[in-house]
Amino acid sequence: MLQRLIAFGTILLVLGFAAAQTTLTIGRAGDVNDMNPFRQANNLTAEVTYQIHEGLMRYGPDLELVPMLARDWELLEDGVTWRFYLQEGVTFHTGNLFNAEVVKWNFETMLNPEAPGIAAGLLTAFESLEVVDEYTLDVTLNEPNFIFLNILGAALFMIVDMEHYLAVGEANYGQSPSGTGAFKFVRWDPGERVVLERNDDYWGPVGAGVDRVVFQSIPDESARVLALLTGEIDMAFTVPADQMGLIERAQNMQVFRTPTFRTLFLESNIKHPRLTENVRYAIAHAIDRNQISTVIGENGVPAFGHGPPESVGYFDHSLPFDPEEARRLLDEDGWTVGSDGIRSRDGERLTLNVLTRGVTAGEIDALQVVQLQLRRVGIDLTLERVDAAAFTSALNTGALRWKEDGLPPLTEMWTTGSGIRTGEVGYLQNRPLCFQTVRAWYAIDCTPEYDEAFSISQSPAPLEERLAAYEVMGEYNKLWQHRHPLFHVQSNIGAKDSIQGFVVDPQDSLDLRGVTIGN
Amino acid sequence: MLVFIGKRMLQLIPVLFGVLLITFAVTRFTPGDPAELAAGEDATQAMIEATRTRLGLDRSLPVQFGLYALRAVQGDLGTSYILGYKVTTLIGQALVYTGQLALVAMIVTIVLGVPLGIVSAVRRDTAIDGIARLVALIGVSIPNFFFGLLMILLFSLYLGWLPSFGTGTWRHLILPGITLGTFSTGLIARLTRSSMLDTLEQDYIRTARAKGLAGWVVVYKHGLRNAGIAIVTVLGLNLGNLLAGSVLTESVFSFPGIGRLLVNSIFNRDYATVQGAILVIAIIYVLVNLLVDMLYAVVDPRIRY
Repeated sequence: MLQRLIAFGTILLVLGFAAAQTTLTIGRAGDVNDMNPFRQANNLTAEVTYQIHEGLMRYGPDLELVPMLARDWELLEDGVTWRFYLQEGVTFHTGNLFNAEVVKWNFETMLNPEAPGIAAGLLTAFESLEVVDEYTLDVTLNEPNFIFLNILGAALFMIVDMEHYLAVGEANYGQSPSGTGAFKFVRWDPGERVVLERNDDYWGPVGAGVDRVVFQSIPDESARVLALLTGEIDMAFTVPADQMGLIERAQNMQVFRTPTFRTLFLESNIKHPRLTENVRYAIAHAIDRNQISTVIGENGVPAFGHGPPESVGYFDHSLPFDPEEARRLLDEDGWTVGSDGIRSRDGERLTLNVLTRGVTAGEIDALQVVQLQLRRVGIDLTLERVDAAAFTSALNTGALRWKEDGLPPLTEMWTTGSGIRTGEVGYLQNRPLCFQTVRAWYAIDCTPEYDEAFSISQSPAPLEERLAAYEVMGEYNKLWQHRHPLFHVQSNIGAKDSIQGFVVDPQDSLDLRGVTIGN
Repeated sequence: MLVFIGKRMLQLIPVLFGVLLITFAVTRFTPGDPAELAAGEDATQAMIEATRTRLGLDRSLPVQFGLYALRAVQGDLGTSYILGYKVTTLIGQALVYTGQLALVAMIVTIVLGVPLGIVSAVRRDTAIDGIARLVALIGVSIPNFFFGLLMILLFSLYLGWLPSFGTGTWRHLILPGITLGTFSTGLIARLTRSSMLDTLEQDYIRTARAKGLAGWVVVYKHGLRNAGIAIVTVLGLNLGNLLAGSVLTESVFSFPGIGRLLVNSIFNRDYATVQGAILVIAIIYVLVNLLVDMLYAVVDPRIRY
């Protein structure tokens, strides 16, 4: 009898425990790729790996860098050495110890020339890495750089459990990641979901507020919204603009609408024979962003520069909407209007092809509006939708043709949806033009003054000087008119009312610490 | 029969070699470079080259193909560039899910499609025939993703009977299974109707009726058995289609089947997974066709191998 009672009691306990378990299920547009932070940085993957791993620092709500695994840092007197003071007593999920040696190894692995990690192209080259003591690391750069810290604060540089990585091997790490984060990896069902659980030994003051997090892939956007409405998931990410109202009107639901630091640009190759300065300026004058905004609705807000006005170094490089001026510029270039309203010159039509991946919500709608607006001034814009791989390949091939063979590039126009991850517009600006890599898509010539301004903007110079440098870069962007910002993407999220403590990060780095499920 | 099966199996070898060669060539000649994608947006040319070496894509095409074919013969289809898993593991998991879904869809097709076609044929030009034909027409015309969403709306949101996405229990299979089976149900119903109409007009049917046989015996034993060859052929092809996966249905119901695995791999230029998945799908088609040929002998005793 006693045995039965004990068994019954145990069952009740287990049941009670199970009922008290809280699981936060998030429906997203897709699944993760390999969860190795050195290899993958796409948003869907980083959103998950950033719950498991942490950086040395991260961005606070006001875009300031807040300490994470580095409790403090300072620039030494030589102006190129950053000293990082690390948190003590932090362990990885495997129990391995976090210390300066581990951070040093993480830097070395990220910058390994044989197999460079995803942030290698953004980080400045290092002179040396020196472990001062168990919890202090000196990083000496080749040249003064301030943005270096911003990269470390983005979801691009996460500290990986060295011993575990070396034990399981590079190829297998992505299937059993271990970091210092508030959530531990439990399971990955490829194509379906990733399950994380609370890290009870978390070092930080605010840890996981739920026992489990499930990142569920529901690719169809309508199905994702329906799953939220049926209550099967607690949150739906990337909700289409036209379905936000549906969630808002439903009972016990809430919505989060946040303008992000992601901007959609219509871009030009300025060496293309048809994309002369007059044509690029005409395009800039022909675009009416208010009309775009009306059509795309809650997908975004009008954009006039790199990143939204609150980003550091913001500069409005757009030209005013003035179709008359656009027509005048085209007339001046000798383009005459034909019977179908499209201009031509010496038998050549003013047709421009835009390569688009169409992955940003509202992108195709916005492009169709621009297509109509350009048609009104006599430019025939054709839209060609391709997948990401074909897109990159076409632009790289075009750029190489120009850089190496001096031939006119083949690509004409394209769109990019780029997000700032460092709070500063420099993240999205053209890298120094005199040292362009394969991604010289715009075919802009070496411009030493621009490069110098870029270099100052990324240096530890006082903010005023850096802002002045950003202004110089902004003026160049205005002069070149190679990137027409169309809109800043709005993040649309639907959630149950019971979800508390959720804050949307405009820079796409999700932080689930402190999120709880109420009644 | 065994000789027949043996011969067909031998035919598999050139077919599969062809599939290996064609998928290898198509992936290599499609615009887009996996190294560029894997190296990330801010990669320098040197980083792209390093990634290419890491992925083994810096070798000449014949060497790449030779190595690939050699490993494939030993059952090693390589490792996914973007997921990090063995391709055989990924395909194995996806096939289990797709197989479950295909099974439900086949059951729906056979249980609904065939009787619908028979009723339609037997009650030709009546109101019942009209309704059955309309249902079949809707079945073949309605887009999967739209029908799937309607099903979720009704059975998950309004009635709350069934889960709207995912895997795990038999209940998760019902909505996607029915959705996936709609097209083939309509197709089979229409095919059954026309085959049955042809058959029911034959002299031997009139003879059977004249003998005084019961109506259902005439329809099933004399009618359906003779109309069966065409139905079995299409059902077989359909099974091949179902096992090749359905991207739309899998996307709506968030089902990690082989269709989505393949499409995602194509977008990511994950050559190893694309080649592996197509190879496996080709093997499935060949085996299903073999199965259909064997079933002919069961349906029609006049056929002997």
